[in-house]
Amino acid sequence: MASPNLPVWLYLHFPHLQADQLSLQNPQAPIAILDQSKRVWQHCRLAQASGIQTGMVFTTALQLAPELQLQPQRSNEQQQILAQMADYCYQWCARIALSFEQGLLLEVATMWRLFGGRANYWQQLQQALQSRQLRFHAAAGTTPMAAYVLARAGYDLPLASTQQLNQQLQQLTLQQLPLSASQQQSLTDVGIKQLADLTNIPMAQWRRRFSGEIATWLERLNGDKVDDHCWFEPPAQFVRNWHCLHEINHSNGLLFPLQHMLKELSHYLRRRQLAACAVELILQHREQTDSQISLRLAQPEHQASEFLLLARLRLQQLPLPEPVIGIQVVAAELVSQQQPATDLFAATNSHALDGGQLLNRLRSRLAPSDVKHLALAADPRPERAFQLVTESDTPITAGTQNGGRGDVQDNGRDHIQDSANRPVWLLPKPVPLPNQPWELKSAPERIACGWWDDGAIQRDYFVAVDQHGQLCWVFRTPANQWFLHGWFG
Amino acid sequence: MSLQSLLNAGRLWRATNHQRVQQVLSSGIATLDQLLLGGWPKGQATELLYDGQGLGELRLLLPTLAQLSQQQIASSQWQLWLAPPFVPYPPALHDAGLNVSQQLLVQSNDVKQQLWAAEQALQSGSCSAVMAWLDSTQPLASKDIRRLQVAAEQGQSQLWLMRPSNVAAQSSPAACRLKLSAIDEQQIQVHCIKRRGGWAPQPMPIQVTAVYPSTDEITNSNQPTGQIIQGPWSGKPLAQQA
Repeated sequence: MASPNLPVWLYLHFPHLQADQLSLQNPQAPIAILDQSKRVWQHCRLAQASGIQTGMVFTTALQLAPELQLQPQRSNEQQQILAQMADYCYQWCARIALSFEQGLLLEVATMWRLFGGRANYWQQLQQALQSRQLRFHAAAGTTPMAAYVLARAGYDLPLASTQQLNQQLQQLTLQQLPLSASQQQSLTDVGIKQLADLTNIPMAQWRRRFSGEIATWLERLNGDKVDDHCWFEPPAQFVRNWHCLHEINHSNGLLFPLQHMLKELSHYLRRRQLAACAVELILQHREQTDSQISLRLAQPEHQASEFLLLARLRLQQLPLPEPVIGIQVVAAELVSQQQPATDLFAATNSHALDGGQLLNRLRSRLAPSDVKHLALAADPRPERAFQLVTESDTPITAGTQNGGRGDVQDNGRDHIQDSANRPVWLLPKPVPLPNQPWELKSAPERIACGWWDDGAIQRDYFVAVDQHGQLCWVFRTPANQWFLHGWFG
Repeated sequence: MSLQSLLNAGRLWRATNHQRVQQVLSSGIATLDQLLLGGWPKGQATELLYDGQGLGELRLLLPTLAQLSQQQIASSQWQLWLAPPFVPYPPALHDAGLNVSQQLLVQSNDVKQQLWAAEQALQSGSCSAVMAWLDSTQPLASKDIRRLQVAAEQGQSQLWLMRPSNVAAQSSPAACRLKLSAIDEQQIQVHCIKRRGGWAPQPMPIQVTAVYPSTDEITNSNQPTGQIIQGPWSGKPLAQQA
């Protein structure tokens, strides 16, 4: 199968991915990433300015830049950053694959029409990529392997034509090709120096002479063999990690990384028109197990400023048990956004919040047990005729729980006669009165119930007036003892 | 046809002519409305100064709260009870006409948290009324009252500060101050120390809602009030009746 003539593939190679990402956190310090053999694998811009190069031994690097920060290579972190970049590039390209290690493969030909041409498309994509401040090389190619090879070698040819690309490919030396050392050695032994030499040999002779691996690689390069790619799918959850260069001792130090990550969360939600019901912040410590802070939202929220405010309110109350070395933000429960109805002509209030946001804020700063909802309960015993609900799993919106003044919870009240009177203040426990006190003002109301569980009561309730002229609710037990149970405020 | 003539003829509407809704909120009690020259000042702080619990301080407010609770505006409207002396009893609130699911109760030991919560609730515009008992540990400072007043104006919410009557002598930036004392079980002596729009009047008694049926409704009216009504049951204790 012949390869297509148009360069439909674009490969973005990020040579210093991890180092650049870490240097975003800490712009002043030079950073170098070491691989397993303790040689420099990636370095940031500052380190490059000091003369540090890939492949250098770390002692040499330290001599060149004494304040260099050394970090080990972490492949899962590399993958995570690539996945985040793929998620970001998803706005500009529908087919992205993480086929090769340090970059993204994009199939761009299908996007040209949408963006108004190849040049326009590249311009927009380039601007977007540069705003992330990660260094990259971009190369087009007629096959994925061709694009990969060029970008990996450090050439920036996003808009080149097929001939230019072929020309450049032919001029690549053996060292710039992604072949293992033994394969390169076996080719050098035969006197092959450039890729042009390699492609001039017919394929039949290849298989006789060299191992199948180089042949398959060449076929991929020419397009004779088509790869299967696992196309990237944007994740349904939002997960972001932040690796701290220095330990964070005080909760104020957590605000800077949280600001970045919550802003990304807000962008993520906005692109998908979703809102988050709960955000989990997981703080990783060196010795202890991870501590978790969960922000449960009474109303789904999508704005970064609200998230940050709630996180700050919660963190103020929380002392850090141990210094923090990593932070993870997870938002798993996502629902579609709802726009609140607003009045065009009402005077604007810059502090306006709606009911759910107010509840979020109150719950973030005050202890969860301090903010309660009142609710009726269907029980004739006065002290059990209501409930104090602190935090529930379903978001409560005012006025809609069971229709508010409506049906279900009123059944307990409807059976009682209209003249039933209840005090606005109910004492937590009935207070015994020494003797029959005061002037009784109403007919007795006998409440005898509770035989179904252990709270059986039989009380005669009266409205009474005390010597100061205050109305109270008293009751008398069968043993002729008087108790005070409430005040008519 | 000039612009001015169109305006004069009322055929042109300008956004700056859009007035705010009325500046007072009726309290539901006619004599109290007269005393306050119309009603509670809208979007302002009102102080109720009293001692004790059962003299009817909330019975003055319940009609207004019921009215606010029934108004269904687009965003959800809470009513906040901040550090009350006891738990407001939901069946009583329900009987008075309030929507129980709109009631929020905040109890915190720290006065600063309570003040912050009050300010947030008033500013947000989604809380129609805040009833606050903030003088438990020490008297509320004037600057705090001023701050809460500003917050109430921003959010157009009502604030009722319940304070002990010994702070009557101190000055306060609240828009309206009422000192309450009990006369008898159905009347409260209301002394308006400060009100918007007029000098402080003389103390006057206000009748509040009765909470028990009047004596006419009791079937056996020969009985003097305050005694147990003799019904069809005999005077013997329950155990002996069976």
